[in-house]
Formats: sequence, structure tokens, C-alpha cells
Amino acid sequence: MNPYITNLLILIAIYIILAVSLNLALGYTGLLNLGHIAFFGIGAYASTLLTQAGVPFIASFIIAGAISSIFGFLLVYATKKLRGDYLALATLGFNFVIYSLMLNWKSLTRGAAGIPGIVKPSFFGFTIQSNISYLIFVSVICIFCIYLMYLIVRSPFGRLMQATRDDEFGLRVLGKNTSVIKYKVMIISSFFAGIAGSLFVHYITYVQPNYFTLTEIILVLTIVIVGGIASLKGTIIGTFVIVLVPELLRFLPLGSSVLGPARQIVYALILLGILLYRPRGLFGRADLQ
Amino acid sequence: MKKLLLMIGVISVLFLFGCDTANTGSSQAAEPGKVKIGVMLPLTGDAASYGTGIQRGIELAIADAKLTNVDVIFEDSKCDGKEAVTAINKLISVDKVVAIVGEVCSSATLAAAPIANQHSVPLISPSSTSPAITEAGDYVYRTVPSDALQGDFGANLVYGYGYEKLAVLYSNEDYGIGFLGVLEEIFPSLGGEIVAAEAMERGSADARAQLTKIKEAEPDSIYIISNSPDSMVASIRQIAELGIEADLFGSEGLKGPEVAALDASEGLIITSVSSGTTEFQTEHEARYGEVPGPFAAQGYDAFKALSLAVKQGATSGPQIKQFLDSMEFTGASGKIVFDGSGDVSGNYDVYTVIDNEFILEDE
Repeated sequence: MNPYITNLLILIAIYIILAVSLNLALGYTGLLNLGHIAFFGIGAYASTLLTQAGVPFIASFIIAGAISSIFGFLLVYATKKLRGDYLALATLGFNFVIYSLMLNWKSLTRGAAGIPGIVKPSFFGFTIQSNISYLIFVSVICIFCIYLMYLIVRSPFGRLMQATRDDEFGLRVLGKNTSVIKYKVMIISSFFAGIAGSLFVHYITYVQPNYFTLTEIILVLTIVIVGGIASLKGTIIGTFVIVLVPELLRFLPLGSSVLGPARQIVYALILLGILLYRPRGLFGRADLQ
Repeated sequence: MKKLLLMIGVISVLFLFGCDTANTGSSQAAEPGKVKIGVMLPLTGDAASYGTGIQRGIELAIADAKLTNVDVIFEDSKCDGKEAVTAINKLISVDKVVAIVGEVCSSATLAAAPIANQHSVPLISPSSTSPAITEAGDYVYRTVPSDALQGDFGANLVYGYGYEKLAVLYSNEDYGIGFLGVLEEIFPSLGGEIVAAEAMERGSADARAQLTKIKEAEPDSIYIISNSPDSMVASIRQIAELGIEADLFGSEGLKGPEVAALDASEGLIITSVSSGTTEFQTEHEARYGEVPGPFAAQGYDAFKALSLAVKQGATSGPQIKQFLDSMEFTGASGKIVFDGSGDVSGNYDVYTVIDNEFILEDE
């Protein structure tokens, strides 16, 4: 297969895990979480540092998810009194805090210089070197993650998540503890973001704090919104659209002097078109308050 | 579920079709003997101003090379590791380029380097100055000297003027950190002392906290390392406001009209990678009506190196690499010879701000 397409499919698989896990919190549970990229970054750095310390890849991969989960728990704990716009701002702030840590905790993360030469995943004496095998590896993990999240949203707990979004007060009246639901959702959501981060850095083999900035949050949010709130299917297709449309635009015959901005204009028009035509996104099933 | 599969199917087919048409389109265009060269630069995003400046330098080189058998393909890689990986994969496997000029930012070049090495496609960066690039692999070159050299040059310059207590205000990114690392190593070895080193975030317009600490350390000179116009203007102004009595030095990023226009910049001395020979500057002004942007001359030289290799008959990555390794020419930024790790030695200029203008100092 063409390495360019392999590369795109790998990125798509990673972003599907990231975006679907954001949709669990944002779409299904109504938690306006703008700090999702921080979990992605925590997973990325955790996995990098662990494998560099000699921990086997599989263990680093799982621990990376677990560490992200811990931060997910802490974030809900810190913001438990907030909701709506305030929660969005606080989680965005969390993102800047984590970014700042990555940038300034130089003894651990080497700061802005980043960490090059991250090893490719290996387990049971087998190392994933070629991009094709990496694609197979991430696809398997991606499908497994989607399946798990599908089970979660279809379960009774999934209904509670959606009820929290639609009418939190009503749910409390019925005797359900909505804060426990939020903790659980964030722990799950940040776990998946963490392992997506691990998959990402072991593919790119280089990590630096700039990968986890506002631009990336906007990218993942765009995927979720264009795909549709509270729709796994929408998010998956949204990822394909958001990653592939700019790539297709690379093939537009544009003069080199206008190439960059012209692509961005066309891209923006396509996104605006989708949202004008389908304000809830491609497969959206709910509105956020 | 059926609908979902259908949608994914349609999108993939459209996409593959898009690639295919592009493929056939270009393979029809690729006559025998035609060579393709890729260029990946940040044409949008934070670093776009560097990217477009360098693009002009490259376009001048394309015009000067007068090659009839070369197609040049530009890609936007946004100064971002992920985008750079995608762009280089596209250039190599879809466009089938044999060599690439790019990326601008060190982090993006480092992310793209393994792919260039894996496919044996030479990658020449016009502006990635991180010392880590030296180790990035056999196929990675650059026409700009490593920060290790500018740090060395800067430290010697400051010490040569007779200063012994240097404070450093640096931009908290790979560029600033790399530069600082070299200053911290060289300056004390000359006999001076680094009395303070404070970081400021890129683009931040407030350095008062850092400068207050620097003031307490009582330096006789301050070295400002930054590429962000907002930060440099703010910090120079705030040094004057806080009444710090130290003379100012700066890295090449400070060489801009905003800095020269400040009264507080009077006497500021900066080290800069060459901004091009007089002929290059005249040619650039004639074509674009502006003086060359930072690294435009290095962009010119990066493309010129590749075009010289192609003129001598190289048609594949490894052949171009062979020519690059033994190449020696005088480009827009000075003499270009790649050493064993693909680096060039430093040609630096020293400028002093006198009456709101940068005056080039003679040797």
C-alpha cells in the first residue's frame, strides 16, 4: 500500500480513538471538556518516558492510559462545582497547565526541545517496524476501543450518561448520584485519550509540547461537532472527513503562492457548508445546552 | 451499520480516486529524465511568515537555475510534526520526489527526518537550527549553521567586547533552549560568568518578572534570544523602563524594523546568520519589492544545492546525496560545504543599531 495512505489511515485510527473518547464526555454526558488534549499529551509523555526507562511497551501503553485516567479523576474533582461554560473554561485552563508543565519541567520532559528517537512498539520479542504493521496494530486497537465504547454507551450506564446530559436534576430526583457518573465517564474517556497519545508518539517517534496546544483541541472538537454530538458513527465518519478533506485539497491545482491560504479557505467553506446543512453535525442526535 | 460502511466506503473510494488521478496526472507529466523536487514549508499557521519568506528565496533559486527537467512541488507542513510527517509521505510516495527542501522549524524537521532516511530522499532544511539535527541521519542536511555555532560565536563576541557578567533572556522553545545551552557552556570557559538565565514564553509581551530577577543579578550585558517580534520589542522596552544598566546583545530574530525603531535599542548588537549577498538582496528587491525575509538566502541555497546535483545528472535520492556530500559552491548566504553530518559552518554577520538602523559591522 502507498505509504502516504498508510500514514493517513494510521493518523485516522489514532484520532478516532481520541475523538470518540471525547464524545463520551462531551456528547454523551454533556461535560463540556476542552481539556481532552491534555490527556492525550499526558499519555504521550508517560508512554515515552516509561519506554525510555526500560518498561516494556505493552506495560507503558496501559500505564499511560492509567496515568491519564488519574488526571481525568483529578480534573473532575477540581471542577465538580462547575458546569457549562465555566466547566469549559476550567478544563481549557487545565490544558494550559499541563502544556506549561510539559514545557517547563525540563528535567523530566526536556521542555520545548522535545524527546526524539522514541522506540517503535515491541512485544513478545516482535518489533513493529514497518508502517503497514503499525497500521494493522493501531487498527486492531482502534476497533477494540470503539467496540468497548460502543458497549459502554449501549449499557444501562450509557443511558445514565445521556440522562445526565439531558436532565441532571431529574436524574438526581430519581436517586442517582450524577457526580459518580461524571467521575466514571471522565476516567474512561481520559484512559482512551491516554492510550491514543501513546500510539501517536510511538508512531511519530518524536514528542514535544507543541503537539498538545489549542490548535489540536480545536481539531478534535471539530471532529466531534462535524460528526455529530453523541454519535459514535458520526465521530468515526467525522474523523475521516476532517483528516481527509485537507488531504484531498493537496491535490487541487493551486499556484504555489496562494496554496496555503487557498486550501484553508476551501476547507473552511466545506466545514461551514456541512454545519449549515446539518446544524447537529452529520449524525448528531442531541443538542448541548 | 450499512449506511456507515457505505459512507466510509464512499469516502475512501473518493480519496483513493483523488490520489489515483493525481498519480496518473503526474506520471503522465513525468517524462523520462524529469526529476521532481519537493518543498515543504509552513505556508499557514504561526510560522507562515518564515515559510513565505523562504518560499520567495526558493522561487528565485528556481528561476535562476533554469532547469527544464525539474518539477517543483510545494506542500504546506505548518511547522508541525504531524503535518510534516504527512507532507513528506505525500511528497515521497505520491509525487515521487527525489529530494526535498524543508522544513522550517526544527521540531518538524526532526519528525520528518526518519522518513527521509528510510526512503533515501535528501532533506535540506533552510532554517532548522537545533543542534539535534546534526544527529538526525545521513539524508538530513541544512544550509543554516547549527545554534551550537551561533552560541559559540555570540559568547566569543560578548567576551571579546570585555563583558564578564552576562544575563540571558531566552524564548522558551527549542531554539532558545539550544542557544542558551551553548552560551552556558562556552561563556564560562572563556572566563566570563552567566549570572542569570530567564525564560519567556514565545509571543508573551511581558518580561517584567524575568527582568526584575535579571536586574538583581547585576549583569553588565544581556543577551536576548527570541524569534517573536512581540516579545523582543516588549523586553527591550521593559529593560529600559526598569532602568537596567547593561548593554544589549541579541540573536538574529531581533533583526527587524520593529526593534530598530525603538529608542531603547540604540547600541544593541546582534549576531545574525547571513541575510544574503548584495546581489541576492538586489535580485530579491527587484522581484518582490522588499528586502529578503529571515532565511530566504538559506532557502535559495538549499534549492541551489539540489539543482546543482540535478544539473550534474543525479536523478535519484542516493545520487543526489553523493553530489551533496562532495559539493562546494558560493550561494546567496556565503560558501556552502556540507560536513559529514550534513551541517554547514557558520557565516555570521554582526549588526549594531545606530540611529534606528542596523549597521553591518566589518570583520
